[in-house]
Amino acid sequence: MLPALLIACNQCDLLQYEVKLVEGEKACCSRCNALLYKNTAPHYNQEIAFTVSAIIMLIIANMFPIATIIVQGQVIDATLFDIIQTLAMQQQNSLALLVFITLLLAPTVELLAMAYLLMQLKWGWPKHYITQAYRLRLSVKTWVLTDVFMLGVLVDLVKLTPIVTVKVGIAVWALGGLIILLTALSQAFDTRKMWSQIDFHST
Amino acid sequence: MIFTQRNQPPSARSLGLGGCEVCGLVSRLPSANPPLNYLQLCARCHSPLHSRKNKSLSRSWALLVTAYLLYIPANMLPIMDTSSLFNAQRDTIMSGIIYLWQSGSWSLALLVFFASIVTPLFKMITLTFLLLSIQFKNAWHPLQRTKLYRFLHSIGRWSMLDIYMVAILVTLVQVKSLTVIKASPGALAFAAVVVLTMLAVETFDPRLLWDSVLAQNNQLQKKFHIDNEKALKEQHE
Repeated sequence: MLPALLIACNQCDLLQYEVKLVEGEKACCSRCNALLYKNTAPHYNQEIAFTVSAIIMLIIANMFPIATIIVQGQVIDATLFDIIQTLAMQQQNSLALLVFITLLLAPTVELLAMAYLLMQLKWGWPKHYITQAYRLRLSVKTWVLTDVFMLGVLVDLVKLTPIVTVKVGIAVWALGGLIILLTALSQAFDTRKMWSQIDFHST
Repeated sequence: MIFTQRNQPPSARSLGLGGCEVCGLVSRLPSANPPLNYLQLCARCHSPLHSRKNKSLSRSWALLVTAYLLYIPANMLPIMDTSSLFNAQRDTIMSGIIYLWQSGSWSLALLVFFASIVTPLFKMITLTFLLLSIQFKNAWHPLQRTKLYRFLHSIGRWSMLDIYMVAILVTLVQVKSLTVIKASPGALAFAAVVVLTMLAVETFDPRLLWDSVLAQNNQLQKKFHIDNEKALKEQHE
């Protein structure tokens, strides 16, 4: 038996054989029902499309204000960067760092690592630093908290509406797009397929 | 009476194998408890191989205990200072929720209540339960406990909601207007609780939940063997 055809569930350690799937099917652990692998489209077109558009959304989300409030004729914008700056100015450096990592650094690193991996897989370039890029993506993936932030923005907007005039910024729409694209990307991408295409001794 | 041997599902570890945590390739792992400083690399992706996450139990415990300790200041200290020309107000997490409830948006109040109060508490208590069940080698409903672990994994992030709400409010309501809002130490403590519990769940290894089942099965099998031999002897006599 080739070791590549064996699969150990990463949640309950049950040893199983890999079975062939039809496109669009998923294989789950027969004991604990954890997702093992899925059969996604053979080319990486979907994944690349999602990654590129997610990067664009991320850029838009960082350039434009999330919300604008108008108090006594004064207009106050808040971009993502303003939030980090204000927290740092109030001597809340750790909170500023937390916001920076979860909303800026982690999504950027995840998407860039993804783009790097996908380019190598799609065009069959010589594979360099695949493991490093993949592990980088694994380690930051948990800390992408864009969806939680989005909910926070919405709650705050509802809170402020009766008191002052609040306008929803362009960044909110971009963030919404980013959340959908990130989810779609992790749905479309299959780790096991990627690794099965990488030869031993080439990493 | 002859006992039949129970069919045991093969865990990779019981066969001397282990799956790579990064690329999933199954390799031979020489022993379940490798000697100190012994490191085996995956043949395909060159990541260090572990049969179980490294020191998962003690790391999870440490992070969890720290989270418990910080949970007290996180709820007692104010997370937000609001000061205008006329009055100053300090909000804890709970008073923010009460304010939302009284201002009529009870659905939002419930949302924030679940995200900031229920989720962290539920997460810490459940993780304690899971860790204790491993510590005492309990083989009670491993599937249900694995599902509980997955649930913890998926809800943990939503506790960060309150921190983001404060961060946005702080930025929007600035010096330019008459009211100034500042983040307070409570916010930092609360953020630390959320990050620590997320890390604790991350370092927790659900495969340990199934190990105790295996150990119990092994014991049962040994008992079956002994009982079988006894029964056979009795038959011979």
